Amino acid sequence: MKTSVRNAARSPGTATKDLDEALEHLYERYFPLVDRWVRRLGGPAADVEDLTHDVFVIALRRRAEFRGEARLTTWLFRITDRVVAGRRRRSLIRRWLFARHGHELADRSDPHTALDELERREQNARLYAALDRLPHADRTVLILYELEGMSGQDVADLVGIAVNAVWVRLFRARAKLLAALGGPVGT
Amino acid sequence: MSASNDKPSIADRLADLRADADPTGVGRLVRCAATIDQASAGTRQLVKWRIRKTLKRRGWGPAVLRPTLVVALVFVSGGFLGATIHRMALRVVVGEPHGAHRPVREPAARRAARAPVATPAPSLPATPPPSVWPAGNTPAERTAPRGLRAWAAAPGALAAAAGAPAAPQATSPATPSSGEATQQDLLVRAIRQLRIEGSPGVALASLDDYQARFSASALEPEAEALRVEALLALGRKEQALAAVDDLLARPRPGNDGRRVLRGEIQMSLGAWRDALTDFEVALAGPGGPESGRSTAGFVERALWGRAVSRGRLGDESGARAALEDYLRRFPQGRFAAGAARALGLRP
Repeated sequence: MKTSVRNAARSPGTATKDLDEALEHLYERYFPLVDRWVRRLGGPAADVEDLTHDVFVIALRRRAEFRGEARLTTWLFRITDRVVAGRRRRSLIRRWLFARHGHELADRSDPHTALDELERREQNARLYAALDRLPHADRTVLILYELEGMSGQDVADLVGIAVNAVWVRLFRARAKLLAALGGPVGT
Repeated sequence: MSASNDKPSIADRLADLRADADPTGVGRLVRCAATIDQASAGTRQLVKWRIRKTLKRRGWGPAVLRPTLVVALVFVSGGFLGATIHRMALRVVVGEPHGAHRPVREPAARRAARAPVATPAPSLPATPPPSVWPAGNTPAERTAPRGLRAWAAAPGALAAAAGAPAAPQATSPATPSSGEATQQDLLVRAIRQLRIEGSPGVALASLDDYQARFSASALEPEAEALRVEALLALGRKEQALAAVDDLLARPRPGNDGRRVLRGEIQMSLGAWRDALTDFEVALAGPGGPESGRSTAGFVERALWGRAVSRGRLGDESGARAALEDYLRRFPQGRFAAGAARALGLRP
């Protein structure tokens, strides 16, 4: 895949063909991963389709910048992380401007969803509301480790930081998450 | 967690927290959030179609429009910045006050307030009647300040810097030395204070300062001319007359014009005989009308002043002759209408 992406960038004369080729390779192979990252990082309020679209558009437009020094998954994850962070930032500003408090789950809930599914979504919304109060870097590490179930080394590789930095961020993020959740939520 | 050193201090995984060790319920929330939805095949194809459409739609627009906008923004902001710096630098160099970058026309009432005191209109003793001399039409009233301004503006660099019409011969290509620049700056300041700000008293103080610092300088005649103008604007005609006398005491080119100015000041003081003498001397001078080379505006003023002075002194025939001479030389002149009325040629 690395070769496909880079080759596509090296042949400007056949840009359209290369683009199609890069799209086929990149999208078909990495869509599940990007879709999962977007859902994890974005939370229940995220417009997953829109964010996934943005990630692949940016990746394909900037494919010439990928020099193969990092893993392609790391490169894609960084793009995903930035896209989601940008969307969250804009969402926060919008919420602040229009005084929309609380999570957006209510707007997106299907009234015909089964009760347990609705409860699951509410729990997700509560968790992500607390996660949204964390610094972005800490939040990302926490989500990848706790929700995605990745190992510390995998998180370090994906994010592009040292393992020790992962533990530091994780420790800090957990403390802030517990503080954000406050008192007992019941069982 | 695969390795023991991977363990964070709180727990291995928050999802593994037992209920009794999880007062905040974070473990339950994490467990609940562990499962996520997956995109359907239709959604996957839809997103792919959107990506392809977005990538194909990208034409020359963003590639050209954005740099163009950036360049335009840089130029516009650079222009504003440059203009601001230029204005600030100009203010520092010549002491230009805020908003005084262009000549401001002084209000008519203010001009009238600082104009020399109007002299009663002269008239021919018999015909035409006194009313034919238009009020406020004496040379001193109408032309003394203007003539002074024109004369004082002769050093073109000074006049141009102060917003007055510049004489072309005065623009020197050479860069003045720092001493000359300081002299010019002081004079420019005085011109501005006098003609733009309408503050003759302040201008006079600046001229005093100039003469204290640069006595016998190359620009002294210009400073003296400005002094005369400032004194006239203040209504201090005797002092203005003395200043003109000082100027006339030193033979210089352009003394004919100064002589006419002296005559006009005499007229405004009611000294008709002295005024007539001045006009006669000026007209008989090397730049007079008979010299064949005179195109100076002072000739017109001198001819008119001579006619008025003769009329005031009771010399009817002389006044008529002077008026006819004026009309012959300047049929479309500034005082032509008044001359025609005085001669009974026009109602």
